[in-house]
Amino acid sequence: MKLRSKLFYAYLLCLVIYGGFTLLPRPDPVTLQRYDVSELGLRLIYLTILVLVAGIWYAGFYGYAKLRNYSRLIADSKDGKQVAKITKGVFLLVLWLPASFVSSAILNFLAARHSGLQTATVIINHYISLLFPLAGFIFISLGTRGLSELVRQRPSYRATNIMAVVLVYIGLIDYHLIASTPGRAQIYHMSIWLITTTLVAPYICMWFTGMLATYEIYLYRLKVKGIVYRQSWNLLTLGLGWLILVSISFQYLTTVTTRLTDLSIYWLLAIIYSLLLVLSVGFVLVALGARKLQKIEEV
Amino acid sequence: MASSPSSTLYKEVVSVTETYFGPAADRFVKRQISHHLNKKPEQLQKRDLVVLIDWIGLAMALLIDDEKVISKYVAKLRDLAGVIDKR
Repeated sequence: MKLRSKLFYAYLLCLVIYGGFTLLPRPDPVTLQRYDVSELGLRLIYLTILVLVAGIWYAGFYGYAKLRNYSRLIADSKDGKQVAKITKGVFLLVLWLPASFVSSAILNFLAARHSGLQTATVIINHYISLLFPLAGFIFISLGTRGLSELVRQRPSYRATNIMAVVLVYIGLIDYHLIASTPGRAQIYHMSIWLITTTLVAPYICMWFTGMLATYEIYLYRLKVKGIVYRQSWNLLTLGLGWLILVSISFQYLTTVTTRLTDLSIYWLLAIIYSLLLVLSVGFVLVALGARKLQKIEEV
Repeated sequence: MASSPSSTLYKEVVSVTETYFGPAADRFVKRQISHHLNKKPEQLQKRDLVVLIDWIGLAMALLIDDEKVISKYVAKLRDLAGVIDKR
């Protein structure tokens, strides 16, 4: 990502908005009391999270910039058209974090001043967290479908069935966790039917699309000619697979957020930092994979 | 319409390169010819091959660490140069 590029300014703008809405408003007295920290202490904690978030967003934007450059270099070729679709999908995945963090910071700021907005804030945050990766994985799967057709290799009947069965169980566990969590009303502010039809079902569709896309890139990598070219796809495949796994884990963890409020501030921070680091691995892998692919077109 | 000998030579280099660069082979060879020989792909001649192979070997070394793969690729291109020389 070049300094003074539109993408870099967009990245900075997101950071400034997120930082402004988390660091500047006076911290909630209930939060200060619950975790026994001073206003300055809580702002410093928010600052450490902001630094980590800045690193992860940068890895995402950097990976997208590399993939976009690669996609432009090969735009006229058969694989180029499919890589362009994957690039669009990765862009939406990259936007997922800034969009959800920024909107959540703004909405939480508003909800703290107008208690009537609390429910709407929680619901909107859930849908923003769903829509970006869902659209992203749809675009990625369109591209990977195109790539697998180029090498005439479609996922086998057995592999598709295994994925479907795995997804059924993952979906059932997700449903069970949501249905049985004691703080469901606080976490979702929606009826179980609305959660199932508008959150659980789209998430399962998204995971299936993402898993299939990852498998199709794997097949493409396996069947396409070119030792060097094949190797360059390794990290990108791994990165996309990792992001799917992280998305599943995050959705599971959402159901236990009310239980986490009982933890000490240190445990809570350890969990937040670990989650952010785990997430960053996916974007770093995508960035490294994209850089490797771009290098082939530059030497 | 029969293709010119230069164009055939270019196609043969791309064909060998496909084993290593797959769909990127054509773009890779075109780039090496235009950057290092200042020629169009269809203008490639057998006397250019020695220089081209050297540049391709260097480019490969920037992309992968596996010496065996690089030397095998270079050897295949040298074979190609030899075969063309004998024609």
